[in-house]
Amino acid sequence: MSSNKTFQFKLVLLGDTSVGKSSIVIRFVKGQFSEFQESTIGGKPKSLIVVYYFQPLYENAENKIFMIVFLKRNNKILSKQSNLNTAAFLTQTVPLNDCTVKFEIWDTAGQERYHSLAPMYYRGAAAAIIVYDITSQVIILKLSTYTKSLFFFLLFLCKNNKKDEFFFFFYVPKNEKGYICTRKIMG
Amino acid sequence: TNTNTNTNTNTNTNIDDAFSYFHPLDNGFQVLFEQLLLDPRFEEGRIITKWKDLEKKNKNLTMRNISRFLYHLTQTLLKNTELTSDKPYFQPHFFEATHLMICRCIFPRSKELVQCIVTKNSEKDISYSKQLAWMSELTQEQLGVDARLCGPKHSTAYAQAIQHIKEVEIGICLTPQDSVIGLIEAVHSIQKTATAYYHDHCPNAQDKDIVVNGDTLFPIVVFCVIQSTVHTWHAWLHCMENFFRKEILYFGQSGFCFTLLKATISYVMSRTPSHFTSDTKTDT
Repeated sequence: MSSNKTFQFKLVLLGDTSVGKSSIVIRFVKGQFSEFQESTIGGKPKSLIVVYYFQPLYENAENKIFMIVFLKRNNKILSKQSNLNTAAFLTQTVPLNDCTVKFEIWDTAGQERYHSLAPMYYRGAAAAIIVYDITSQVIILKLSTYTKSLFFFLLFLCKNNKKDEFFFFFYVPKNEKGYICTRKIMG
Repeated sequence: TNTNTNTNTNTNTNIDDAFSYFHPLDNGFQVLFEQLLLDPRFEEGRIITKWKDLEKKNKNLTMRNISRFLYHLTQTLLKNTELTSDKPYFQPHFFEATHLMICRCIFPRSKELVQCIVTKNSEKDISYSKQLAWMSELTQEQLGVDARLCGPKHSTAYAQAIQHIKEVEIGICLTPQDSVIGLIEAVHSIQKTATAYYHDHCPNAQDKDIVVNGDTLFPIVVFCVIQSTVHTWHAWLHCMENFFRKEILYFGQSGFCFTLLKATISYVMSRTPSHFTSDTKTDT
């Protein structure tokens, strides 16, 4: 039975310009995605990420790890949208069996010159999604610049275009050295 | 005294849950409220008189002091008028709505104190003014605004949003709450105007809703903030950070807009003229 308990999480989207950050958030909140549509400004539309609805699996409060699993279309997702009506700030409410999760999703400016401003955005965030082009050779270098300054759980999403598979990487700072585990999900 | 404070919400349709209590200033209602609040026969009136005396004597009062005083004054008023949470007719936004009206009463009467706080941050704001002097000459394109979101004329582009931002200034705005609402309105106005410009540039575009994202919003905000010519942003940030709780500053629409502005000020302060010649070549 569902209860009235509501969790609210701030989710920050990080990543270079034109890698698909807005596509993720629009797909999640509005259920819209077109590989070829010119729905976002900022660059050519790229087909490197196709996003499925994601739904919280469970929360481990002790370790501050909030796991998110990507699922296919879920009709239960409410289409509640922020009145600000910009892809830079959207909200989505997801009813689960025993609680309701409300995401507020902050999209950040991905251009190189704004990277130093990112810490201001992820203050108080429960999680960050770093979106990147897996085909890019410089991605490892850029990821390291983000992870140095992030102190909370990170979720990396990417897609292997050749195999048509999706991966998501968890980086758990609880461990002193931090470790990365990967999971594969089908597209 | 204030059970109908949530009814007059016609101009704040863009406000999320944290500001759902917000109502535009109703002068007639506010005057009546202030007559009650300032009446020396009641406890609140006597507290305010003591506060004004303290304000005159102690020039080192901070925004946090003001915030605490207003918080406790609101609690006292609600207790004395039996509008506390243990009453059956209690409504969730009694506190915030009353607090807003009290702020609208006290802040205009504490201009001198607010001016002192502004002066304390003047050093940073002088540096900001110097940045503003040369950055206000930069075009929308130079600031990184996408060509399809640029206004037709530099001088009139995003005029409505710029006007909203001008009104946010701490010396002009009634209260910190009104200031944050003005900022949210400004960002909303940017979204609307950018969408209109986009459809002017690209009349065949299909998506009518989502045009502005994180990548494109920020340069427009930078342009609008610079063009507003407001130069007391460090004082403003100081006031907001010491007045609001973190739920307002880091979460929700208010948090998002506040962070946008904070990032903008930080960005403006970090720029030199040479950045723009290289930025426009490599980053747009």
